[in-house]
Amino acid sequence: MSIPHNEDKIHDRANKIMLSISENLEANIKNIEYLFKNCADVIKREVDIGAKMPLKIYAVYVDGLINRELIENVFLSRIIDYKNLGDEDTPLTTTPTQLIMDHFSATFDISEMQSMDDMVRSILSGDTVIFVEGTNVGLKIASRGWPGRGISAPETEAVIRGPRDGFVETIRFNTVLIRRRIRDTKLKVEMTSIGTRSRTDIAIMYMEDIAEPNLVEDVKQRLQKYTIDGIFDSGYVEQMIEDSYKSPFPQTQATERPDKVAASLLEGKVALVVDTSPFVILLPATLNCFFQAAEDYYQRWEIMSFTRILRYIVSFLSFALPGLYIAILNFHPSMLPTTIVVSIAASREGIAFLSVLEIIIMEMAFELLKEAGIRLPGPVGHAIGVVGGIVIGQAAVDAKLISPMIVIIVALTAIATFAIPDYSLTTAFRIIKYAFIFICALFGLYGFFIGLLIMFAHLASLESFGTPYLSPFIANDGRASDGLRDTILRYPLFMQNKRPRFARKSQKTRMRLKDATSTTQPVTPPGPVYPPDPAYKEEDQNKKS
Amino acid sequence: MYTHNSRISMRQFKILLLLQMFNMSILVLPNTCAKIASRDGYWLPVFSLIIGVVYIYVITSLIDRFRGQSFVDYTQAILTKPFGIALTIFFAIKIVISTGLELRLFTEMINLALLPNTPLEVIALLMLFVCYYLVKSGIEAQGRMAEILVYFVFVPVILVMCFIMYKADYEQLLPMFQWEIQDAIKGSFMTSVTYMPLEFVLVIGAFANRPQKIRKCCFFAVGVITILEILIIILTFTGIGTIETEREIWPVLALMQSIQLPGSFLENQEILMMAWWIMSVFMYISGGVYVSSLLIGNLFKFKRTNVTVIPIIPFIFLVAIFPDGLVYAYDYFVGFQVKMGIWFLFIIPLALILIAKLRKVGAHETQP
Repeated sequence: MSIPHNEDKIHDRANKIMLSISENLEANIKNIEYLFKNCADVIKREVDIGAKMPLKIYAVYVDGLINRELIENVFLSRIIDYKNLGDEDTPLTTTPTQLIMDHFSATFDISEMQSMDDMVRSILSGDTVIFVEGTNVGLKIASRGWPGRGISAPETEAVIRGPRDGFVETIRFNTVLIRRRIRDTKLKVEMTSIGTRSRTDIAIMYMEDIAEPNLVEDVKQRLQKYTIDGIFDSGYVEQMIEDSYKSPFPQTQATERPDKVAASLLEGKVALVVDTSPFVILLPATLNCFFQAAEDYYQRWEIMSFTRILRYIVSFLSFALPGLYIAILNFHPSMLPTTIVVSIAASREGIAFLSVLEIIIMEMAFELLKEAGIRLPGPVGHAIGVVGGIVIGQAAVDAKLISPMIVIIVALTAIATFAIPDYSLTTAFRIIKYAFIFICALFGLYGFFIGLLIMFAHLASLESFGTPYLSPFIANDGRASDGLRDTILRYPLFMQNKRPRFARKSQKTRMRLKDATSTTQPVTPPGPVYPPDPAYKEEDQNKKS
Repeated sequence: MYTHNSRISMRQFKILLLLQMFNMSILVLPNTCAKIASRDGYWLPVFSLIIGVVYIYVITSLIDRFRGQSFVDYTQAILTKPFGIALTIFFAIKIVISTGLELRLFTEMINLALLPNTPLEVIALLMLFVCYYLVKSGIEAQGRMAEILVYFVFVPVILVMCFIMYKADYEQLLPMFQWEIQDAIKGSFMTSVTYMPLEFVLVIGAFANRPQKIRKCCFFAVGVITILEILIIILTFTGIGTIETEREIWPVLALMQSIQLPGSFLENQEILMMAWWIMSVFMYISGGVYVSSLLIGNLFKFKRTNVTVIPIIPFIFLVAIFPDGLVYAYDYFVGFQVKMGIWFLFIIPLALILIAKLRKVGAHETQP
């Protein structure tokens, strides 16, 4: 394997520290000093707890990553208090680590650790670790507290009506935003990490009883498929786990909106929350889900159905319009009424370039403007848009470099592109548009239909985590027809009572009318503990007898 | 939910058959029917439906005996290995030729309506490339493709038909029942070969997820196609007249040219109407490419059956470019359908059933 690694005496190929925690505190200090040599941001301090019970501890944390208030004011102050206690008040416990856990820590989140790798990883994740003399068990105090961006409205998925909170770069905040919306113990959050050096945390979130176990297992397996040195955004994960890297179509859905993730989890999807990324990945993704915006469900069905139809039409225009224009103009002008043909011909009078070249020049100019607009700061970016779109466009038409019709076509295509709610689908259509321009320039409308067939054939063969990409338009097993109620038309919510095809079969129904029997049905308690423990069961039976 | 299982649902099976049958034969059918039965030509599909039912019974009875088995497997089980291999090769060649001729007629039609200056070879190769792209992904992708294309093919067809029906001059069909009985029999048989894609069922029947429903699906597909055939013939006769239909090689195309859609944003809308033929013929050609490559792949026991797709394509292309011109291509197409269509629709499946019964091979014989 040619992955970057740091194989030396201490680290293995996966950059895992192979040292163990020693009972000798000096040895641990030496190891930590060696590992964090030249790391000025790492604070290390050896403390003698006191004369009554002589015990040395060694605390390590990264400055700026921890909540200093918790560690210094609470933890250290308790140690000082302990030093001042009288003999009779001195708490005696069996082990030094237990003593610290019971009497010095002002937090519930303190745990023992067995390996040096876990200790170092905790230090680098923002926890404080403590090595204790005479024991080979370390302690980790959860004290993460780095400065982070506050919750703000999502920039890429703004809504008129609906919640305004969006994900941020801190994984725990993001999982909390989702947990706040689903108060169910069946919402599971499994933690894993990727990156031998970045060790980026990833939370796999799913509804235990709704998501298909195969899907969850598949996601876990794919996450462990590669070894990489570091990942810095969910975009890395997305590309590592997707089904077909050759496809321009997005096979996972990225969102900044917690409400969207929560709704998707209830549909049986799996969410991947990646630390340092404000975008959460949803799996599996189908073509249809890229046309669904969070707001669709917060407003009435009539207007949202109309919007959906509009989105499907504009998505077609976003990749097909320039190609169709070239095909009709160059190959089949007889398709258009004579007046329109004459009007177009008049507007093209004196233009030096072929229509296909005109389109490509204008499309490229537009791509350039867009790229420049993104890179430049807000107000300057807007100015670039105005200068590029209006001034250069008008100048190009006046200079007879391009025809006015081309400006209209390119502008319409651009507007259509931005009317699609999902940016990743937009990028796919942007690429496909050039393929259509090319094939239409060569073969006219025949080329256009061939292009459509290739696109459909590609989409038909595409899958996202075992779900056909064209689902629910294609009903492989007859169940998916229910999913059509949330596609081109958005049916009223009470009619969308079934979950999509990727949910478990046993959890197909998501909404039903409340009836008397469903709420008053007696439920037998499972016993004192669940799953049943024989010891408790016996005790329970004795009580009953 | 995990779908990589090389199975198609019965809905997909049904639509796949429907689209494959809605091919070039339908475009030339009014011409054939007009020549045989003149203005009573629309009755021929009705009689051909009876023949189609017989085809379905024979084919589905055969595959029902060997559920889930490939054509190569069950023919070898019935006829012994050497004869089974010979029959498989014969079937593959037959499909390659019929697909090639279909492709040729299709390229001629595109040449006539859309690309008069483009060489036929280029049009044919482009279509074969798309077929390859779909077929290499297997039967599941084809099933899904059919489910999507069915809307693009039949919705516009039905809309245009409704419009033509409204304006049609039905007096063109009078007087009725002027045909001879011999003509009716001959015409019914010739019309019944439009059900030729039923022979694909001999191969793709093994991929149906509910094999017991194959017969029902075939009946549905043949029934719908028959209704469409009747409507298209009637509308062509009433639209451009029986005499013009007899003269035109592509009477349906002439019909499309003759109509004027309301709104009139588009003129020459027949160019746009080409779309559904392109899509439908694409499904037939890709079906032919798939079935023939699968037969060869199974014969050589390749693990990945799609490796034989590319080698099959040049043969189909050669067949497509073989006829010297449209008239020859048309003659070969009709002649081949009439002479060879019946073999794998009726004669060979029936013979295989009889031999299987005699030799006591197949599910029914082994069941207690």
